[in-house]
Amino acid sequence: MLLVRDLNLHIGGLKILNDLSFDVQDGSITGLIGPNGAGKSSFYNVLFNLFPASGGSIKLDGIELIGKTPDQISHLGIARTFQDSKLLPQITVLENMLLSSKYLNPVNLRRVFFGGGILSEEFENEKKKARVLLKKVGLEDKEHSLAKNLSYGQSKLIETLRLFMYESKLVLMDEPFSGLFPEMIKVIKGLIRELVASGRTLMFVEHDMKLIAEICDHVIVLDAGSKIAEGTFEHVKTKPEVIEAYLGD
Amino acid sequence: MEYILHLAIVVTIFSILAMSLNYVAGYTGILSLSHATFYGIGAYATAILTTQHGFSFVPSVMVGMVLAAVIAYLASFPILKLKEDSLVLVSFGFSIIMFNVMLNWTDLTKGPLGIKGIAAPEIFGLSFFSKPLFFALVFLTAIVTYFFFRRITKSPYGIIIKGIRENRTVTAVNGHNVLRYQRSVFTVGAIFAAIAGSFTATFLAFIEPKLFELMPSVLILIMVILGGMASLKGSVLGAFILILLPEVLRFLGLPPSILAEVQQMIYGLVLILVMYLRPQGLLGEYKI
Repeated sequence: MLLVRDLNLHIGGLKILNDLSFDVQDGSITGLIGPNGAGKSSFYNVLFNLFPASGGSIKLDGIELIGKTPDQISHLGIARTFQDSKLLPQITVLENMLLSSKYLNPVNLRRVFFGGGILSEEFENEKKKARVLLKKVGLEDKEHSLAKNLSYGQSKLIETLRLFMYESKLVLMDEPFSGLFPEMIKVIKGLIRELVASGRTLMFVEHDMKLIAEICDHVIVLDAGSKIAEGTFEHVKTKPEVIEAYLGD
Repeated sequence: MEYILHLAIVVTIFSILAMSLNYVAGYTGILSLSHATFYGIGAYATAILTTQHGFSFVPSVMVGMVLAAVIAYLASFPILKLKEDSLVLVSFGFSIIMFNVMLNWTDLTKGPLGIKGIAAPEIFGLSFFSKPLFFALVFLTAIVTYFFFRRITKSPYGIIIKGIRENRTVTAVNGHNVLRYQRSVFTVGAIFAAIAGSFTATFLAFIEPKLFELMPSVLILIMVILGGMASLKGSVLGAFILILLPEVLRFLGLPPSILAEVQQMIYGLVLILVMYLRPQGLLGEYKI
């Protein structure tokens, strides 16, 4: 379970996150919604210590995340995607997938030279796993393409797909559907259901209220860095402060 | 034949330098301008230890490697704290400091006078004084260097360091300790530069600080860029072209007084042409 308590992020006098507190239950799909600048992506960045929190606590299964480095946080079982596709442009699609594979840790030079073939065996298994995933979405012919040569939709797809390369507990997705055409949205929705079915807890930031209503079983509404409502989508959408801040747009 | 062997040795030594810098700059994205410093550390270790302390070649190379590793590891803290342009400038600053140490610590390095009389390598009683034998030794080292870096870059380790080159944040979020990898790469690259330095010292029999100042660092970097970032074969090709190209000038009858200047202009021109016409280099895929 993820517990967020009194989380603050202040940058140069600006309160980006303000005494934020909420829980995320294991196995749930929690939507993080709010107007632009509400602090949704900032919360992800604070959780991964890309922005250091000004105060408060974030605990996953009782382990404090504040003060840990991004790689340590990842090792606790948290994976994320970014709002703009962050595939690494000048490495191949397959390499992008493999980079998310946690069996790589720790790969050091001793293992590279004296691993006795264990490393190459693991490497081949992970390659097979990545190829199966690529085939599932019809991108098997792209494994050797540089990621920069993919279309926007394909990049988004690969970014979601590589979440499967790591047995994470908690997945943070940032606008996985934005800018996608309906066919692609359908594919990614299917992948999200699979992620949840495999026992992962999901949080995602999304602007499309229909998708939020369809997918999420819990919704947290942020405005100007503060939580203004929480509950099921049906519950929060009737709240006047939510309508005023966001839904009424 | 002597002349061709001489060139072959220089090309091979620079191939080792270019491959090791490619590991640092082309694969990992650490655009360092201090590679010649570690080259110099290896050269001075071998020169000082063999001429003044009775060391034989192999132990002197090992000391040079350890020294380069320790200095690179310590230097990696300030250098790798920064990114991109700032990192380039800090590595440049580091090379200026180290050049001045070589120039002014005269008790140790004999300063601008340099160290002469460095003997040819001798390993297990076999002297590598003759050029063919010396070439064989350097060539074998270059082959080992190639396969060493090939093994790393083709392994999962290679994917992680290329990930770091592309985006440090994303690589860290994917669970990789970016700084640890960068420090390791920077240190290993320096060790191989030091090996090349030891060969240079014994090959020339004389070294002086200006062999290890900024310009050689830039030259090695141009070799890497010309051959192709993240391409080991490209680095060998880059060394081959940039060592041999200026040699053509000798046959054009240019006066010796302007030869060095024209040589440097050629390096500059090659860099400009590559950046405009083929930014990924001759054999590379990665564009700066």
